[in-house]
Amino acid sequence: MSGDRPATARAAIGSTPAGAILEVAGLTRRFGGVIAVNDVSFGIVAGTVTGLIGPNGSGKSTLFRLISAEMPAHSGEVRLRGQPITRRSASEVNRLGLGRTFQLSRLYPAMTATENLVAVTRGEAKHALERAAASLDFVGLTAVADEFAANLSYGQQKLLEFARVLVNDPDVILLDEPFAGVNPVMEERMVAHIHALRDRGKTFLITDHEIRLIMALCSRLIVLDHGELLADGDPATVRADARVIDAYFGT
Amino acid sequence: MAGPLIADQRAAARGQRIYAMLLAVTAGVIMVIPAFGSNYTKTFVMQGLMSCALAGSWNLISGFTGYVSFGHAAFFGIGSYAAGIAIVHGGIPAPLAIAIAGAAAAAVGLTFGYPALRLRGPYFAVGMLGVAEAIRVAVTVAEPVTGGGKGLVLPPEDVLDAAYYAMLAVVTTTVLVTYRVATLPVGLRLLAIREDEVAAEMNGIQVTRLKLGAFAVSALFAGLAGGIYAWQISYIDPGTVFAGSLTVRAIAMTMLGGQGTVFGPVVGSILLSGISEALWTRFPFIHTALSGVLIVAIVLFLPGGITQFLQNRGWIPRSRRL
Ligand SMILES: Nc1ncnc2c1ncn2[C@@H]1O[C@H](COP(=O)(O)OP(=O)(O)OP(=O)(O)O)[C@@H](O)[C@H]1O
Ligand SMILES: [Mg+2]
Repeated sequence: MSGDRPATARAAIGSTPAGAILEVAGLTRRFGGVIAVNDVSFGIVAGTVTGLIGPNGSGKSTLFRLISAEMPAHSGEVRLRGQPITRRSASEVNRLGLGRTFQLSRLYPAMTATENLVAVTRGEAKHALERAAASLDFVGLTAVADEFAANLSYGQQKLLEFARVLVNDPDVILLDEPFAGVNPVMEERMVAHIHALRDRGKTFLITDHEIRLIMALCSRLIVLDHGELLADGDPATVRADARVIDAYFGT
Repeated sequence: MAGPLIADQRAAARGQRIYAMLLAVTAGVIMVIPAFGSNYTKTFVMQGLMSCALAGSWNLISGFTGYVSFGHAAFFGIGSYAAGIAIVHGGIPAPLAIAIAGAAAAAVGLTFGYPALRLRGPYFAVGMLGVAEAIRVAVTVAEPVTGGGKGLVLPPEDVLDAAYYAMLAVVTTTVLVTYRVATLPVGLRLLAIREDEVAAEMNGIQVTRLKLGAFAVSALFAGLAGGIYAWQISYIDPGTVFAGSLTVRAIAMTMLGGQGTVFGPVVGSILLSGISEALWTRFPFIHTALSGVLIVAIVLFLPGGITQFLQNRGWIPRSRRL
């Protein structure tokens, strides 16, 4: 087998393990003439961290937007715990336990860090402040709790967005380039946080161009190229896949 | 940056007390005016209360969710006509007619809000302007019921004092509801819609439901104010109760005081009523233009209004949206 790496990677393409918590089946989205996501299928298992990589414009963010119901797919289906969520509104999808961040942070700029979290916290209002404080503490932003989000640094904004996703304790978490602009110390802390959450059963799908971090974080890599699934498998195998090297890593 | 210094917090708490005291004194003066004031004073303050109700009502939808409506006068006009028609054609007692005015405006708000709130930014603002204009035309055309362009005459009654207190009650309720909203997570959810609707939706905020709810409550208060106005003035016509200047004043007052805050519309309407009263006698013609100029000036120099100005100086706490 090891002599035929591309075949190995290809054999696994679109694999949907039994009991996958998140499944994507035949998902397609066009923008005019561009097919941003082209017939993509895969499933991911609860309690794992999966990396979604690929060149700029390969459709990673679009795939996130389709999964989180920010925009409708032209065809295909998304299932969460086996239940189709394709026709649901984005807020329903979030309430079903799927949270995401944005490639460019989308905070509520004129609200404080704490307010950014309290605004979205579900459950009893009287616990909202405590939970917001705990979430801020988790990402190390307690010192700027009362600062307006607009005044936070780029990296702090990334962390605040991460905290905002976590505050409702979702089961599946999609992170779109969480490490862009985050300093090495924070990077390490985020990797540790993600692993800690994974050990508590949380499921992650993460895109990033920081391949070193992606390799360290993920037990599986999915590669997109021109909207199509190019490879899918364990990081070492995918890293060595000739087609992936050709399309993404270069030589 | 560390959290605010303790000295800052003390200053802010003191500032907040002064602010609250000024508002309480104003409220006290307004309460006793009918007992001492002349009819002129009463009419002037009543006019201010009406503006304040409209500003507070506009603030609930536009200040909090950022859905800036240029057609808010529609709900005032609907309230005026609903009460007027109920009184003239139905012989319904005024208090009930005013309740009907509020309900009618809220119902129209829900009906038009459902499609209109799908529009964003300037499209919503202009869409609401269109809605207001369409309703004004419909009221003008429905002459047998509304009296058309000639207006609707209500049985004249001397109800200035009663209407005064009724308007005060509407203002107070608007402020209390806004306070309740602003101090619960729902207020932050509305603000989150204003700040970034997509990010609000993506984080599970039920955006459509909240926008519609805020819009209906906002319309309700504008409708109540319109109903009380019709009852007191006993003559309404489409040009007056659907006037765009009503909307412009409400926007100017709210922006001056601070959008999306509890007391912003109150502070703004006190200041602007006072200023325009002072100018009115001397320069009647620039009076309406003043509101427009003021809006531009606020947007340029004081985008968060007086409230944010005070917050930025640390005179009132920034975390509390008063
Ligand atoms: N709203 C849109 N309108 C038109 N085209 C779009 C839109 N969003 C994405 N695209 C196109 O779809 C393709 C995929 O874009 P996408 O943002 O998903 O890529 P990506 O893999 O996230 O890239 P990056 O690594 O640079 O973030 C690109 O060709 C892009 O130009
Ligand atoms: Mg992207």
